[in-house]
Amino acid sequence: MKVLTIIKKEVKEIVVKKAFIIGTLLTPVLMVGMVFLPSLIMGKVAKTNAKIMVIDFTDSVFNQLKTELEGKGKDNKKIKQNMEKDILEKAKKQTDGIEGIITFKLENISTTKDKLPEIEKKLKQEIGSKKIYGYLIIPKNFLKDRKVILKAKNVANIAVIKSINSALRKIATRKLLEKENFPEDKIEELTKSVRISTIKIEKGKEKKSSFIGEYLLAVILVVLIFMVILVYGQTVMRSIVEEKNMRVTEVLLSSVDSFTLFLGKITGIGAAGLIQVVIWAIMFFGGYIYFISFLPMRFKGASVSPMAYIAFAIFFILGYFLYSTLFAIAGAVSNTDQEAQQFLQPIMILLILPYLISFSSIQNPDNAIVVALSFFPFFTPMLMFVRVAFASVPVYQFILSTVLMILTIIGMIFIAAKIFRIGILSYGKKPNLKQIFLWLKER
Amino acid sequence: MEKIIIKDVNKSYGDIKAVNNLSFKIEEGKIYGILGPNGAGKTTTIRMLLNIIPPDSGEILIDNKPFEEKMKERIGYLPEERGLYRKLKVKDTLCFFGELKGMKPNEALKSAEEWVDKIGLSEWFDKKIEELSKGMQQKIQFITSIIHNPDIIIFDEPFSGLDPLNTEILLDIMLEMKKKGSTILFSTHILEHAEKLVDGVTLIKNGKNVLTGSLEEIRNRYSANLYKIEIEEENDDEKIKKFPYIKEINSFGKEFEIEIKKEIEPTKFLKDIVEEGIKINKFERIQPSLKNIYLKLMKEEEK
Repeated sequence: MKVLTIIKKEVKEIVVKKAFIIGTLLTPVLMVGMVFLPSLIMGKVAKTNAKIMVIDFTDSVFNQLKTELEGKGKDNKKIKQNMEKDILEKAKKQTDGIEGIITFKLENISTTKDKLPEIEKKLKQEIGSKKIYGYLIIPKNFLKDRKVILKAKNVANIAVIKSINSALRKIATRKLLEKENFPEDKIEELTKSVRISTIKIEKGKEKKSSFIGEYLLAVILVVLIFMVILVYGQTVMRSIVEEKNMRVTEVLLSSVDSFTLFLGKITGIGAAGLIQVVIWAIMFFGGYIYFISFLPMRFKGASVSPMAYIAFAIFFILGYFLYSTLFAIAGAVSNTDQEAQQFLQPIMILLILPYLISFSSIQNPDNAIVVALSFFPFFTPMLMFVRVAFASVPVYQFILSTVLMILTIIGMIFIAAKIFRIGILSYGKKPNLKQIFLWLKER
Repeated sequence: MEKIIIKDVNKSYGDIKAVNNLSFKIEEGKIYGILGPNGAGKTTTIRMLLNIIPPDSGEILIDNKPFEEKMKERIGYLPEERGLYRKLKVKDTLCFFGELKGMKPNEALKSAEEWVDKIGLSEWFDKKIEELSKGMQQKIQFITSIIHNPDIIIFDEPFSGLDPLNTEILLDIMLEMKKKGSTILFSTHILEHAEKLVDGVTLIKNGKNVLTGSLEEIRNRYSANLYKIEIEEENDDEKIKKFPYIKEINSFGKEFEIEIKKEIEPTKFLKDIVEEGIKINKFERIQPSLKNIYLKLMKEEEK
């Protein structure tokens, strides 16, 4: 119960602070700004709404053209998706945004040849005022000549022209075949569009198309593990040093035992960290769902396997607990923040090594060294996570590494609580390693 | 009934023997002082009593039982090194320490309000500790140690660093808690405070028990032929020093505390002074103070 009192106080102390609230809200904004803003701009340009007025002198093409282009055709949806994908792949390379996803809206204007100039004048004005994208004139002998006229402000948008072209060709072919009394289903088969699935070859290997997205997400999560351990681990350390400096520790120890105090402290601070990450996760996924339509294809479907999310949750929490015991020891044996900084170095090395290895191991997560290192409890959080995200890790390996971590944490908590118990009451000279070792042997 | 029994307790830090075969008992409902110079082992004894550090050997009993974690809820402790969370509000500070002592949140809040009211800091209840003056912080610190109405109160050097006003407040709190039936143990090296308060004392030096007993007992045991004299001319003390039956003179300027041989009657002493032609303003036979006894014992120990 008393552990809860301590947890409550620690959480309150961190979470109610202005710095926490501002940091929590601002960090994702900055992240989005840095990572996604260029893509957002790119994605937005690539999207076009094209309202096209159709002057159809054949009187028979418009309806079919409308269904084809507005995406109500039978196999049109798939084609459209595919096309979007195609276009986006290109848009990615040509950042000028000439091409993009096009949402067509077609309207028919029935008229006669005499009235045409008058109507055209009106339509041209509408193009000028951007009310419509452009207008299409389909001459009476379209089926024979296969010629149409598109008048628009931007006639360089290849995607628009390509879409209209293929739709009209399909309609013309269809009409021709109908005339020849081809059976309905045969016509369907003959005019079926071709769908091309693209697979990228890199370094002689096939790559999944959403790899960049997956890579980014995994990197963000590894950075998150690293950052949270570092930030909140240091919070544990500073909080212990501060309590020592403020001479509060002894009063606390007259109410609770050192183990409860220790556990309450790291759990409370960890809980505050967890609250922050959960808020970020909600913001991230909320934003992700909201913005998904604007995002370029390479970010779409940017989801690592559900297993990787579970691994993230487990290793995030276990990793924090494991490292916070080290930070707590550093705090307990120091009298000032400066002194604690010295103990920080070895911890930092232990933290940065797997961080660096994890990035290089994304390319080759099955590397034997990476596999072996991922079982070292202090490396497990980041390395095992990367392995789970990018390679198929046997379940027993996953469980083994988790069990190893939990055992190490239990062991570390006992060691840390013991050093903590003696260290937090020792003021004055900083103990050396030999003394710390002697403390461990004390009852 | 004995509330606390300390029996043959030892504690060493490396080669240094901090507490050496220490034994004493504290009766329920009494105020008890542990006296001794700095480094005598007072704080170590108190910490062992609270199980913050374990003794190497010996026995510590509270209500005739060895220490259990649960007992911490009945003990109030004010350590020598004290401090509060600077950023925490007065209210939250008191409630936090109250809840750590096993109080329910609403109980802790109620008790906190009562005590803050009693010491006249109600207006500061919602302020952060860092906004309070040093004196106010000290008052809040007292309350943190007694907010849960403990039946054992342990104060380590409670008067060090207190201004006279806060010293009075603390003395009042201690007497009030005694009236409520609490057993109080405190350590100090300022013997005047101890003398006003204590029912019993233990004097320790270098971790060893030098003297133990009730104040009355000790005074009787160390009763001496002791006088307090105030003279008119400062140099006249040289004359007094020549009296053959003088055992010891402690000079405070024009005032002296003089111990003379037991068999000498006060009238003879006074007569001798007058015959020497020394002008005196005051001549008083006094009880030995705790301080006299303490200094005497300490000096004997040195030898």
